[in-house]
Amino acid sequence: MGAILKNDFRLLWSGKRAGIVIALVLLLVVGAALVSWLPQEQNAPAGERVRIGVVNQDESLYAQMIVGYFTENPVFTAYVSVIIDEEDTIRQQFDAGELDMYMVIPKDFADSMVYLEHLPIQTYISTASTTKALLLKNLMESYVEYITAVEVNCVALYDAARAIGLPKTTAQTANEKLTLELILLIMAKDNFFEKQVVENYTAVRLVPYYLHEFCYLLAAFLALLAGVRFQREHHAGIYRRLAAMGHSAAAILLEKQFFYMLLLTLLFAVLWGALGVAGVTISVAAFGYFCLNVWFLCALMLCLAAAFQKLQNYLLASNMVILLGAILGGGLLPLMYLPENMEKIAQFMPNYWFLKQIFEIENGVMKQEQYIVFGCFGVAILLLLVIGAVIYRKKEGRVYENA
Amino acid sequence: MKMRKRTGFFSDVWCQLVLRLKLFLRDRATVAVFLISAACFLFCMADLNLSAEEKASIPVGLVCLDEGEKAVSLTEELKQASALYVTEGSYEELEERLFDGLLRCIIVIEEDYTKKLQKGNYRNVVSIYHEESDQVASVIGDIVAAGMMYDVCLARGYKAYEKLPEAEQAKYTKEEYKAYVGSLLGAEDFDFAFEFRFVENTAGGQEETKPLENSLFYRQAVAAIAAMLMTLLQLTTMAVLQLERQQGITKRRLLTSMSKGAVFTGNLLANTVCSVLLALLFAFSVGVGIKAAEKIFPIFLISLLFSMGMAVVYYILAQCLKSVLAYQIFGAVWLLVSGISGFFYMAEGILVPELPGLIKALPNVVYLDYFTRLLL
Repeated sequence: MGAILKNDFRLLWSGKRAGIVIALVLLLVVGAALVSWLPQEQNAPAGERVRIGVVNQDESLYAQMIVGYFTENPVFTAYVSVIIDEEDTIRQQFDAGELDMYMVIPKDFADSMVYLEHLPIQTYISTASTTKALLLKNLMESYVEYITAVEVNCVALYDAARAIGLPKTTAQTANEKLTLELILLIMAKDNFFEKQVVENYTAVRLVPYYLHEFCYLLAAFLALLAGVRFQREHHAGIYRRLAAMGHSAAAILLEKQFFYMLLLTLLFAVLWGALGVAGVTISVAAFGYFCLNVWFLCALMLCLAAAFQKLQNYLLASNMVILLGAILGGGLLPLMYLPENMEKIAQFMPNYWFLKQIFEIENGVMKQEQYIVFGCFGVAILLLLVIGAVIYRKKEGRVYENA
Repeated sequence: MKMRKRTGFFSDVWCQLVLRLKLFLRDRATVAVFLISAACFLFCMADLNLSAEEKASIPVGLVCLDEGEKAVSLTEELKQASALYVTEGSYEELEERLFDGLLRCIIVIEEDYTKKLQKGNYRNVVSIYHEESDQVASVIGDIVAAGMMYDVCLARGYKAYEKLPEAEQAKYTKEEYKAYVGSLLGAEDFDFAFEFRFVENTAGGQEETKPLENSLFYRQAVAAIAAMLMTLLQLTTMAVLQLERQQGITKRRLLTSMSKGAVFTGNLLANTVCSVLLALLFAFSVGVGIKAAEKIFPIFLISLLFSMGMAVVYYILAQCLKSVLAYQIFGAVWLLVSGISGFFYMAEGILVPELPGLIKALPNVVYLDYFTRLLL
């Protein structure tokens, strides 16, 4: 087995293969550089990206306070940049696609609340980007509730005061006082909540989530190539000849597993090192866990390559296994957004366990459950090799004749 | 003569189409893998599309420690909020889900919530447990506050009413006052404080579209996934052409005087026929999900056209590349790049900067754009 392994490494540097390996290494280094660039891009102020216009036709204090809420609220400004101007200018900018939304606070808007006339704020949202339109709609909808609550209670107080026979001026004074009090209450709504930080918990952001998944898919597609090589060598009759020399199917598969394990580990070690140089540090434990997953993927692909007779069938099956595994395992749609049925199935997917554990390991959380997962991966690798060897041995001769 | 040539071309196309389909259907392993994949595809698409409305929202945990009337009404409000997907349970259960990455934060309605609110005291009546730097927790706070605002304002309003001087008639009792405010809430005049208008720029100017639903974003993500699967099908089925080329079958076929155009058209049509099932399953699951049968055919059509476009890309790759290994590498890279571009399209302007024209011209982005316009 050692001789075959040595030969595989020697062949790696012959002909075009050396070019492929060098291209892969370069690709990984470029990838690492891109990854180190991404977080900077993410830190760019999001407020620059979503722009809204406000036309304030009401000069009252209340309207000023509402506008102030949009321009000074850190939650709002974190997502949106606000431009206040005349209606014509804002409308022109909206028509030119420079604004994603604009709203018109009508003249006497605040008075209408006090004097019981209903004057809604006209809000125009562009659907050029549906994502932005949805974000803005959701942000604005929560403010609808606030304004309705103020409006209804002010009207109720006025009506109730008049109903018991109080003069109009007294009812109006009480109404104005309550309106101001309730608007101030809205401004101070953060006081409703006691915000508590959950200790030892780090939420996974979307960008790192997808970057990890991308690395996993990259590893899966590289492991798939290992299966392609296996099939091609098999169809060329190489394993048949090795078998004649006394090498069993299990020994051949085991050697291939070692070879591709070492090769892919070396390739990803290059990526790991390049990331480290680029300033993105990943712990040894996390890299080790990633490698375990890579080894599992190699075993899975070799097992599939050993099981399928034709290369085209292997390609169809292995590609589908990778992509469906990513979909069902929460790789393309994060776990928290998966429907219940898919969430249950996800627990049987390697992709799910990779994503579930890697972030905990990166955050330095080591639980007993993780050792069980490591053990399961180890057992699965061995099982896949055994299954692959048994299937391969059964159809060994037939395949060679068909090739 | 021309007529004969034309007939010959169509006959060649037909032969190639039948040959390709026969080869596909006669291979049991291929058919088995294809059917299993199609079944998985159907399961994913159906589950994702049917859950789109609830799962498009932010997943939060909710613990209600108060059994009072106001706490129950807030719980109901939060459950009905379109922006939130609420999971109820004990704090320990929900914390476990939070650590598993299944929740964004936990909202706890404190024990004396109802009592405090009735007294007009609203400070720290709800706790939000979240990650230290998570800004979404603030957005969730805004949504929860919207659910509380009516009760808080009512308590303040009644306090103000109590302070009014005595008049000719007796004042309303608290219950009567509450009932009166409640009756106003349902009145037409207070239906909305913002009048939303969704505007689409078209060639003929600006047009108003129907209101957007949160589920649209989720359906876009599902379409992006479906597009990747349809691309994958083309990658794997066109691999056969690459293998045939390696084995010299392609050259031998040309000896039969079959034109390259006929071979290309026949192969393209065969791949289109294979894609019909996936495109139909996807269109059907979206149509059922949005309860709009009339959208099924247009979605099916654009999905099929997208598949054909991808088949052309992979046909070119299969013709240009010399080995199946290179075909798989370039094919997978194209699959990932075009697939990621679809997700970038969705996050454009929010998570990623505006996309350059080149990325906007990628098939997945064009497909998603058409898909979105169809749903609007």
